Amino acid sequence: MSEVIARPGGELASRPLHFFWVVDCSGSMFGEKIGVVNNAITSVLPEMIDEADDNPNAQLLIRTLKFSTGASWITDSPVKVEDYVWEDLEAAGVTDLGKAFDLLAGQLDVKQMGERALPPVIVLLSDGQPTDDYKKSLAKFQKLPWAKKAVKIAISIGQDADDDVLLEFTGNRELVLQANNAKMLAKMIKWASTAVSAVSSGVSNNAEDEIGDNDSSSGESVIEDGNKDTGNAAVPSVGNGPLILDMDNIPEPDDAGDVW
Amino acid sequence: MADIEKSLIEIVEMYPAVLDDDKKLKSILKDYFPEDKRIQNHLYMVCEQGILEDMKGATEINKYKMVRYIHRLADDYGISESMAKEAIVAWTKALKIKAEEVSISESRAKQNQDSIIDGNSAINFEIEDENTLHFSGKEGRIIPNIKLMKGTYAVKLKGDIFFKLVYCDYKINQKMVIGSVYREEECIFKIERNIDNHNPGYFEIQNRGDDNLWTVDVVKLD
Repeated sequence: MSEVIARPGGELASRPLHFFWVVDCSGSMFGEKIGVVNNAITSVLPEMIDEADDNPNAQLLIRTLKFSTGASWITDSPVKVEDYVWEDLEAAGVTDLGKAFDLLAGQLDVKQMGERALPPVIVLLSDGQPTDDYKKSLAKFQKLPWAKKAVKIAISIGQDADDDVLLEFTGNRELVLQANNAKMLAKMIKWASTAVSAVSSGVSNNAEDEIGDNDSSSGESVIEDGNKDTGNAAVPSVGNGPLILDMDNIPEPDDAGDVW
Repeated sequence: MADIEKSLIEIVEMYPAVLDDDKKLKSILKDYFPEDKRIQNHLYMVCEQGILEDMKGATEINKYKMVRYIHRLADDYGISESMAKEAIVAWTKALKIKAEEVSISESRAKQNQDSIIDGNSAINFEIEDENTLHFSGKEGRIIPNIKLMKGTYAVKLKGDIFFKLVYCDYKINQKMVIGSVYREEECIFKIERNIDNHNPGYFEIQNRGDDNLWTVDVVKLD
């Protein structure tokens, strides 16, 4: 009679990978733009689930933040990708990006994120100019250890978006993606959703590694987490396992057709 | 119209910094009027044409200036004068500026009247009153399609320039030069025949000096 032999140590534990959509829902996004965002994210969710299945060491958790006049989370807490259902967003109001950064900063607290989490991924979509004092909020956000470790991608929608602000957010021009029409917006959303994957191969801790450096010669950016001894008890200890950012397959800009 | 004015008042009160930044203004107009590109564009045109900048700091705008603004928008963008007027009036209310009422029928000046401003494009001139054409610049200019009724005029210059009025008198088939005026002089001249579509004229200004601003006032005396 065969017996199931329990593995010593139990199942392999997965680490949370928080994925944040930060979506501009101001009045200027009304109509086609917000429609494309809603459709694109809805249709990319199954692919995100497939990617998550291919990365058993990471538990992909989704949370969406919308901002217009004020900002708010769509769900009370992060949701596992396989359980996540996209609620269509509507567009009205102004562009309080600063309030979005404030809420995001609240979520990137070590207590919220947990200490074993992988570097979070934040995708900011915006088509306009902030109407509030975003600089103070952004500066506060950028000081957070998890914000420094995060993969920050911005999708600049249309030609009136403030790319300087988006660049301040990402810190990397290559991660400010241009989407000047519906087709490009859908492509960029798809790329941003599936570009980051977690790899579980053993990589030893690297102290003092910079998060978010791009090594574009290889077509991939390796985002290595490491223990940085800052003397700050709030610094997350993230251990091994790099994230890979697929820089090689960023869609080429295409202004054929209607340009926003 | 009341909704547009109300929204614009709110923008000026809550986001005054946008008045100094064209991009921010364009963006917030899109936020406030998402479903109406026409309104977005018309309100933004007032900024794009420099009219909004002109309005800032003013407490009132006379009808001549209103007419000039309306013409500037209508002529440059090909929109109707009533739409141009709507956009300009909305901004005057938002900026709490007292603007003299202008009816659309009055805004295109009647050709039969003797006012010096009649028929002359508002783009080229600042019209402070109905008897003066005022214009300025830093470089030499030719201002075509001048229309002046017969009568007596004074030309006053400031700056190191040379001014002349030239028109073609087709009756005698001759180019006439009237009132050559040089550097800060003032001269009086008489026009015997209307300068209009039949006998078109132009102003010519030659800048003889540096890059400083020059001004010309052509005043109708009788």
